[in-house]
Amino acid sequence: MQQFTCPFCGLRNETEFHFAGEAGKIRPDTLNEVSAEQWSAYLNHVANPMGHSREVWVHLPCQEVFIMQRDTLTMAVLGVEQLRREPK
Amino acid sequence: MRDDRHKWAPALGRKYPPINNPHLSISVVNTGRQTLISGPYKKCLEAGKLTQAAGWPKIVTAQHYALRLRRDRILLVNGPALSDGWQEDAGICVSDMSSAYITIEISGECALELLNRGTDLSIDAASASVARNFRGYEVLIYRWQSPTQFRLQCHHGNLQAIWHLLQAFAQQVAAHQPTGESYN
Amino acid sequence: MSGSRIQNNALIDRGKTLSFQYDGKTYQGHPGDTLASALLAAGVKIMGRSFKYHRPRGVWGAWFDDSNAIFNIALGADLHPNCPATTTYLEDGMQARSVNAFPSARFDIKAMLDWFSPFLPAGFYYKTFMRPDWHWFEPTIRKMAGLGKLDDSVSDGYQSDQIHQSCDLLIIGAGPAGLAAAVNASKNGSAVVLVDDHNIAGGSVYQLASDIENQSPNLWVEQQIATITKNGGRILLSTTAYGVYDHNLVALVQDLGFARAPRLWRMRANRILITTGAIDRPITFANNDRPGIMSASGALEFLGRYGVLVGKNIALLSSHSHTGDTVNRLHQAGVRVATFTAGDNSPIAVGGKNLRALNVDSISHPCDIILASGGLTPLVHLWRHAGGRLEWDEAIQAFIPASATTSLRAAGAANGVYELDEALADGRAAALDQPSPKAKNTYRIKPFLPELNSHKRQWVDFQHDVTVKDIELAARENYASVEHLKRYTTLGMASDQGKTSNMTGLSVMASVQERTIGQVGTTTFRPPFVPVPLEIYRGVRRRQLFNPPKRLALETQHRKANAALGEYGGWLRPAWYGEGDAQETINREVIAARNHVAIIDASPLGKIEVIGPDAAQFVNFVFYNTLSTLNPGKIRYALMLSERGIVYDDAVISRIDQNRFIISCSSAHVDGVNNALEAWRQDGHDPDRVFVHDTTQNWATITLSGPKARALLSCLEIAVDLSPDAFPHMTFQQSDFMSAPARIARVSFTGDPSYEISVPTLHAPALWSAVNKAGKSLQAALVGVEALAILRAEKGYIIVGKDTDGETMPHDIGFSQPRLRKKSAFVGDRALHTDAANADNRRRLVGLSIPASENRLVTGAHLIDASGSKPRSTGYVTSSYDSPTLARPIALALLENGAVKIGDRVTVWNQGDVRQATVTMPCFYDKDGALLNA
Repeated sequence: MQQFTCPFCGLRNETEFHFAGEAGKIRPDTLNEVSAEQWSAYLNHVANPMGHSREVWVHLPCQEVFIMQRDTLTMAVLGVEQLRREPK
Repeated sequence: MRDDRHKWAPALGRKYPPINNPHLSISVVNTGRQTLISGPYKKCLEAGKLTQAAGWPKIVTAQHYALRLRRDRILLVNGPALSDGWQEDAGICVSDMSSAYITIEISGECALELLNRGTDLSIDAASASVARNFRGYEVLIYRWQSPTQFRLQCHHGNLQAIWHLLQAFAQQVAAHQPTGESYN
Repeated sequence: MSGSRIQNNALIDRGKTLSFQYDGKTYQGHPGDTLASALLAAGVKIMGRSFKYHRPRGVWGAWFDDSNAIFNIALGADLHPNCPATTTYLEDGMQARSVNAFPSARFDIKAMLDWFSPFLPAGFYYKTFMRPDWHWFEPTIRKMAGLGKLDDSVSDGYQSDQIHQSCDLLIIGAGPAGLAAAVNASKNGSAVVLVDDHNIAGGSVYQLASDIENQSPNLWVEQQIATITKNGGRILLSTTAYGVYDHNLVALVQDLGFARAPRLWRMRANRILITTGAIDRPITFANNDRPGIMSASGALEFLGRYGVLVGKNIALLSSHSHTGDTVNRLHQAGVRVATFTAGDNSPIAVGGKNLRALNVDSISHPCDIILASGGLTPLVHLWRHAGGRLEWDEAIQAFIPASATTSLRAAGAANGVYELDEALADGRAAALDQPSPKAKNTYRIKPFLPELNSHKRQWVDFQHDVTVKDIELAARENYASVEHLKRYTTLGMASDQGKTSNMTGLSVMASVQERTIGQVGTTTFRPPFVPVPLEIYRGVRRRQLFNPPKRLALETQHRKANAALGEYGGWLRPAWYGEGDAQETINREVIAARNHVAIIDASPLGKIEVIGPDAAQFVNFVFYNTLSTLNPGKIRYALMLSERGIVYDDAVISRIDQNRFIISCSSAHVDGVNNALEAWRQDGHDPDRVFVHDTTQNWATITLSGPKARALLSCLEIAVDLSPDAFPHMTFQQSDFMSAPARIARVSFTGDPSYEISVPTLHAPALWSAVNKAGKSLQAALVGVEALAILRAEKGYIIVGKDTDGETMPHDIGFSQPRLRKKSAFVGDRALHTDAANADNRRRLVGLSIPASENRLVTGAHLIDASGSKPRSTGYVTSSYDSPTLARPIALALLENGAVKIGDRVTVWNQGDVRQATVTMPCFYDKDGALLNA
């Protein structure tokens, strides 16, 4: 059972987290022309890197959506980024 | 199409008999008004007329207090009556949740040990939020009044399951009292 | 007979005697004995039969390194299978039986299987017993395989405790290195936990029984423990660390006695120190599996811990630096020892069930026990679990820990440091995370090499009966890589997981290929290190705590009203009300709902509030239907799609005011919808301008549905104008009930005029009571979920996930406008214009009509197109009921290109049964909605 750091709550067991996909996927602007290939890439293309990976995770108790960088070989957590700017 | 009425023990509403053993006490308590407020943290506190919301391992001692759930959400307990909805000037939104939550008090020298059957809790490991996953249930766990007292809040729909869970854990705690040979 | 009990400082209580049975005979032992030590002391030599060939076996080692003596044990009402005799502590009254032997290990009727061994080498099942059909032979072979006997009855009260703990330093193994480390770390203020799988700490110190730091071993151990405890360190005995997992989580299983479920500790440690020691490796020589051939350190363990002398006339095969110490120790105990080294040729053990001699260089040396010491093998399994690397040390002929994550460390024999003083220093340095003093490793070994190309049987894996010949066979057939070798021969795959066979197997393969063991490498070690019962993962999750459904606030009321209860969408809900025939009861409820008024507890329906200045824009993006044009006070039905355009959930959405919407989604999807809304809120929208509050459990909802719904509602003390002009369908009103807020939504799931009354849950009992009281004079009926499903199907109101599947898009179920007309972006928008989305032959929702005289269709039955060369499925029945309202069967289905097939006949096929039905619009009741809008 791994441990991850929620940017708000801190270090918690992995059972509190949910993997939400690869980071860096930008939703195509669907009000303009989006080819079938572009849409398919958005939905289906996953880099699935060996080693350094940038991922979107959710900490379920507080529902914070954030970026976590991990090494998919060693399972080391390389870093955690808050997704949103601080509220005013 | 199944009739499972006899398979599931009847739920007891909100009246569960307290669990008492030499090292532990567990009972359902009434906590009055509960209000969920979301928005900028300081604005949420202002609406609740407080200066801070408790995280872990802060010990809450007042009857009127707030719990920090998220960076932009608090749960106000016994706060002032607020209308549901959006407050434009403060930039916050309010929902009454007085009927949603059940509060369970767990106290005694083995209270923390009991909670450690459901999740990883250590006084040394601070957390900004009191929200936890307790054996699969989303709950709020915080310290209350003294170092050996805790409160656990859950939605009422889960009370039956959580009560059985706490009962099973209490039995395990009672059976695990340190013996000379295997534990210091 | 060779074993006997002697007087020494063994860790047993000689003052008490325990009585037990083994294979039908009665024996005695002492508290502190294991079953193996007690049997050895009583002179028993044969303690098992091997798995494949049923060869007689004795114990090899004194702890988990023995895989021969496995017993089914009964004690009182408990029967536990497959207990290792060497790690099961003796209790008075135990009745043990050898697994895999009948009637006893001494005289086993299947011993003649050994004669068939030429037909049963490694991998025999790939070559023999294949024709005409493996399945002819399989049942018999399977019956003959397997170990242990299960008790059919369920063990009540066998429940594991599972506990989370954390510490600064976890030390695994309380031998000299571990104890020294724990003392140092605890003195230094670290929160230390020291675990050991024996019930008394000390590890290997009892083997040679020599003084440690000028103290007797027993006293030295006691002093370390006292110091550790005084400094606040925790010691867990009879506790095995069986797995090291990522991020320094170590799984500990704590033995609480025979037939008591062990306790699982999930220990999170900042640092882990592995001081698990080393075990002796077997030597491959002819007949090396005979009872009476044991590990040298095992014999010393039996001597030191249990006061058992395994034999009086010992032949010792040993060629390493500790040979002299072993010989001295045995001499001290009054034993004759003849030593043979790796230079001596062709050792052969002589004697079947009774060992008689060891032949070396064709000279017979009489003995009652052969002790083989192939060299120390550090126990590095845990090091590998979390990805630590091993390196081969040629000088000591062992794999030792190399690199790992910075928080993993090894010390003592586990680290290849075998000398006591060095081991203590190694442990003490490791405890403080300091480099170990550079000690010169004086341990030297001359390995005994296996005899290749021999007709003699030399055993490598005792548990799976794998020999040198099998390994030679594997090499010949090119299963030479260490991973293939393992799987082809089954070497190391039994319950001992290769603890003793791994190294000997690699040594043989290395010889066969003329490589070093280091070049051959080793397979990966994975948890669990020892077998653990599955129960440790179950714990409290049983009976009332096995996937318990959520409970309604009105459950007591439903039970009082005789409700049949079932799990629906994670809640325990009334399926129907009454004790009689279920179907008749449900049909009566449907009729009552259509003719009078139904009272339904709809509390599980979601009530997720979306609040903020961007709320309208937000829900408009997340949902398929246009919601920005929904005015306050109005309700709209909307679908939630995935980005693939697939229908995920349907919801009824109310707009309270400019900045506030309530999403009433299906009860089974509340969490999913909530998570989806939160994800879009934080990743794609401004989270300061829209918030999501799941208030589902704060509100209880009671639905009144039917021609008399309005009448019933007017009887309640809720001030609201119910006239159709003031309160049209798909609008809501806010009022109060007994000074609590009440929301009344006029929205229908049944097709009849319906009002959903929501009040805070604490007021639900009062509302329920009022509704029931008022309903009496109106012939109101309590209606459960089963009847509700029929009412919906009659109206063609879909249930997402039942009448839709993983490919259904909104235009398949009749919602095509937003796809064509909605001008703003929404989730799934682009997916609705792919080739697949535009295809003609998409499955669309239709109704199916069947004559009243016929039985209803089976849900899941296929709609067949028989026009081509082969019949083809073009869709299937999604819902099917005998409609009480219409007095005939009705069904909903998904059918290819269903929209243009209205009126056609269609063939319905279910498991060979063929029927005919007519395709209709998916609505059978109040088709024009006149009743609904009344």
